[in-house]
Amino acid sequence: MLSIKNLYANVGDKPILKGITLQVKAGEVHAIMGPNGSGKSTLANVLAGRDDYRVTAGEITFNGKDLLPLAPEVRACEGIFLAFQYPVEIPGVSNVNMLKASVNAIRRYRGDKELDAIDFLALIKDKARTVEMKQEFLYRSVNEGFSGGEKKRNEILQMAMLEPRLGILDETDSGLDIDALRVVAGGVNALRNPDRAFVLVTHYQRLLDYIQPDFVHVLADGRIIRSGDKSLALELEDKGYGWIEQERSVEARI
Amino acid sequence: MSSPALDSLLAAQPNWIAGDGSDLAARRSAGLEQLRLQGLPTLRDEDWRYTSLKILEKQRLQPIHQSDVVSNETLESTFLSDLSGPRLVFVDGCLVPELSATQNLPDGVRIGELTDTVTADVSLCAALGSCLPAQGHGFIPLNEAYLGKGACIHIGRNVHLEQPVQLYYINSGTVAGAAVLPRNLLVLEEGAEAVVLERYIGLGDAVSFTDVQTEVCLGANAGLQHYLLQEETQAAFHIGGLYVRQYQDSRLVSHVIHLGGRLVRRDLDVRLCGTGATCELNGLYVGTGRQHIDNHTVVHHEQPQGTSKQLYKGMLDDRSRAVFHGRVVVSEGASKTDAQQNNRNLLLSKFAEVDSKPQLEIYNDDVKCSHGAAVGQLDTDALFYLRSRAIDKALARRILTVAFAREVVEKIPLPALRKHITEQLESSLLRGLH
Amino acid sequence: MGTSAEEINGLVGREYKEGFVTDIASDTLPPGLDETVIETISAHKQEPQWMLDRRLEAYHNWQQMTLPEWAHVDYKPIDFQEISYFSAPKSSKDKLQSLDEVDPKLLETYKKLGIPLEEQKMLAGVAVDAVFDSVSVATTFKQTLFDAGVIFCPMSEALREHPELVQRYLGSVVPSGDNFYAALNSAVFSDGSFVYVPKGVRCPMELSTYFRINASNTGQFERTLIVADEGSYVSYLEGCSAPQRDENQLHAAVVELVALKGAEIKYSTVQNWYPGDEEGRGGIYNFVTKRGICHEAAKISWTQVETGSAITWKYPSVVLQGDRSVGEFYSVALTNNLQQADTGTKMIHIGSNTRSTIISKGISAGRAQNTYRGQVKVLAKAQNTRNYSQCDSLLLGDRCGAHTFPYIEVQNPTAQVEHEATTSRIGEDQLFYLRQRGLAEEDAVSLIVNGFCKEVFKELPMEFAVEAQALLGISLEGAVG
Ligand SMILES: Nc1ncnc2c1ncn2[C@@H]1O[C@H](COP(=O)(O)OP(=O)(O)OP(=O)(O)O)[C@@H](O)[C@H]1O
Ligand SMILES: [Mg+2]
Repeated sequence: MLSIKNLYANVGDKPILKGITLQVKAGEVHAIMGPNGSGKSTLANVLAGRDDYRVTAGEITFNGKDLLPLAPEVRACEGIFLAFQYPVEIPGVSNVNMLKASVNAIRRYRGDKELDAIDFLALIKDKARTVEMKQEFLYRSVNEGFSGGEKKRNEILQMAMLEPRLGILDETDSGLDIDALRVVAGGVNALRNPDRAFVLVTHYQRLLDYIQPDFVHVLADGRIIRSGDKSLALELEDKGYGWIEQERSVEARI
Repeated sequence: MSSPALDSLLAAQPNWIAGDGSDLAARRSAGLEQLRLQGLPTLRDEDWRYTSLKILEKQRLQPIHQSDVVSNETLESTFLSDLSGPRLVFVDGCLVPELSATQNLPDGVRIGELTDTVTADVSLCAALGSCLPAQGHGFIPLNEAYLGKGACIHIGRNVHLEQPVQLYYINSGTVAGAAVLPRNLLVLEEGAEAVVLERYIGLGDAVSFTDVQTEVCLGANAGLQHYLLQEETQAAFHIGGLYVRQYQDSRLVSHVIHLGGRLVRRDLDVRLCGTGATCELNGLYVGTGRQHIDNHTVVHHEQPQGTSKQLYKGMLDDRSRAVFHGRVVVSEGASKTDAQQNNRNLLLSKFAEVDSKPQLEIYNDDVKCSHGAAVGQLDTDALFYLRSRAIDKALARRILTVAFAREVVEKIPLPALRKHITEQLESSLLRGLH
Repeated sequence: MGTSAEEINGLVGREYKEGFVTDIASDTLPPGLDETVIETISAHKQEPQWMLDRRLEAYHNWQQMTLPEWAHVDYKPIDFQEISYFSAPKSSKDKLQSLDEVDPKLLETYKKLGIPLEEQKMLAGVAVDAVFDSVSVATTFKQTLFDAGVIFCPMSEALREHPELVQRYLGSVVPSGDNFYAALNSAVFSDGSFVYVPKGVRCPMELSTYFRINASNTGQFERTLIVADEGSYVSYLEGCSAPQRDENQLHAAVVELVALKGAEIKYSTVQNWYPGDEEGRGGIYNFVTKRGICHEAAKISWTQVETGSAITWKYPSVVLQGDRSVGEFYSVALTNNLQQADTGTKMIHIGSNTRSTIISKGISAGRAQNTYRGQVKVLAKAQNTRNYSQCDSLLLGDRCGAHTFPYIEVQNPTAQVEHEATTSRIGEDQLFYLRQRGLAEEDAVSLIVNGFCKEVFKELPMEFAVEAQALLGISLEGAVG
């Protein structure tokens, strides 16, 4: 589904991603872990097509299509969803209005009929229930004045509405209490099926207790320095990131 | 500098007949004299430093006050259908009684053409002109020189007129250089309340010129909601003022919405001359094409305990240019004044321009005053967020632009008006957003 | 009420400690201005012909100009023929070889002002040029600076020793026809400081000029030019004072800064000219034009603490000509009694990615009027510019005024310009809180005022920050003890 080959990317003039290769197949869940500043969010933003993140080398294909020339909204229509690490506040634009525009844009792209106001409202109210979000939040401006946890919940609500093919969650679990964490995990698990894939950026094993990853990757200084199965996450939880670096330097010496 | 506009207006005045109430004729001559003396403002006047009248002065203008070229159906189609209530409709400066509605007014309410209403009442006649500044810019004596047309609204003591009074000034756009120079007088006696909408509409493409001055006198504890909806064509020159005197505990809420016009200049001058008077001034301007929109506000805090709150927001596209000049003057005696002012602008095109000049002049220490001004563009993070949610760039920009305006629109309590403005914003005006 | 207006007036009332007169014989030109006066000044300074020509050209310009009236200040018209345009202490020779030749009375004067000119007694690391009426009387630390390649000398000396530099840059930032007072200054300027910092040099010490008006009926028209060549850095401090006199005296200076590619100039002023007495008698009219130009990636930072002068009219500005250049303006202006200040800045964004910051704190007491006037202009070609302005006013007493007149002109849609301003008085609850914690009222006021100005003080070099705080402290001293 997603294929990243030898990807280099700059933020401004600063190289952040330094050769990332990653294959994600339909139905899989990948966890990406790694120290602060290693480039995890950068990778997520590059996948979503942010302007100021410049790809300097490498390629990304998504379901066989070259992703790089596509505008962010086209990527979204293709089925890429990014739950942001820091969701922006948009005063004056209500959640409902934004989501209606989004849902219908995607439906148009796929050749489906647009939802009318009544069907749309029914749908969003239903989804709001599943993420345990109060209805009043739907009419509030996007993320404005939301607490950290409420913002994350809102991201999951949007994901549930847009039913992406690839969900990228950038630390959607950070700073959540256990109930909210359950909601996030529930949101992902409800969408899991053989046609969808997820990339979970996280610092904590806790999330992975709820969502079992098929693969775990460690990103450090812009490269994936180790990949493994879910046991790698447990090992990281135990020993931190340092040991991988040490092992690598030992390997290098041999 | 030669000014065909001024020359033609000076020349036409002696032939101007506009009903002869008591001393209106004398006032007109005095106005004309003053205008001759003073002329029109120039860029050298500090209050006009960003607004050149060059293109206006080039026009040959002719004051008019009659027109029957537009069918009543066409005119009616411009009305806000969800809004009922008393209404005066002026087409090309002339009242159209068939379209107007001033029947069944509650006791104590008078709404009518200026000359008739004023000549029938000595105290109203005395009020006329009393709110205008002694030394205003040249468009005030110009308006005085053509005094006679316009509307007068008088609300008696403690009368609450719930339905909004609508004043329609429709320009047919069929007469090139048509000039209308109405004066409106609004007098709310003690404890009275009213909602007044002034709406300016253009139909045809001919150059038009409006010089309208509205005077408002708010008695003690009176309350006025005033709307100015300026929706003229891009061939319209609109110079207008709202001059308000507020007595003790009176309340003014003003909404100014500019959706049209080629060159627009509005002066909003509020004098809080009674203790505890409050005013809230909201403004929204949307510039496209080559529009030039200039808003000047002044709030004079003359007495203690007054509050004023201003929020003006503008969005400028294409080659449009906006000027905001907001002045707050707090006099020595006006302690416990609370004045806030905010002007935010969005530049949407690389040829658009904004000049903002917020000013505080404070002669009293016991005050809380602040102002803020900002010029910027759409938030790129918000733009990306929307695009990552499948919304294309143009729509995302439009959504954010309308959202920027919403803060002002939402302050409008009349749903019919809110709806109309939102529609205007969403459809025609921001169509060209890139 | 916590503090009555009278009490506050008492708190801010103070005496001008620098108001003594030095009894020294001077060569003073009789009052009046014509071409002969200009020729005399120029001849006295043994200036090159081109300088005299420029002066005369400026004089002719000036004669055509009218007095600016837009400022929010009010004063009796100045009779420019009643002013003497040149005064020099008699003993000063054309060129002083060492400090030993300086009249001891002068040294005494500067000592009283807290500015010892003997190098061994000086604050290490600050070179001082002292200007007494129309001439520079002493420049310290010349050798150290010379070793670093830095030129720091009186303008009259620079005209003789470095004419090519002066000719190239003088008037390049403030042309002689710029405004009424700049034109006057360009015609009659007497002395001032010249600084040149060569390429890549970080000036080894703070440079400082101290201006002193002593003679009566004289105007002071100094001219300062600082050129920081590519990649260099210099910090310059300016201080001033004048004796207490009943009549007003004119001070019309011009300061030009040139920051070439990658250079940085930090210019700090503590202005403490005689402000006049409680009734508004006397005091200096301080009409100053200060402007700097930033080439690519250069930075100019103006910091001013203005407590003196009867009238201050002054807008240190930055022309952000080069891409990525930076302009800053930090200002504290305190007015008391009948003082009037109309001050602020202009930031002209011409280059792309230029940034400017404006922090202005106005404090007004007594019957004073304090105005911030500033302009932020972004030209159409300037991409991605940023400006942030914050202008706060604090009012002490109910008969003073505080005014804020910003002009924001933006012609490019990628600009981000933000202006905020507030006006308030010292909160009674703040005062009460501090007093409840045991502070005397004047200390509480002083504490709050200093806190109000903190953002600006932290921009001043250490020694100056202390002086500025003390100055505000003095201004707030009086009623108690
Ligand atoms: N807009 C930007 N401008 C400059 N540097 C940036 C920008 N965005 C990110 N960076 C830098 O890029 C590097 C990678 O940042 P990134 O956000 O991808 O890290 P991360 O792995 O997600 O870290 P965390 O675990 O803290 O979220 C960091 O050094 C960061 O400071
Ligand atoms: Mg991150």
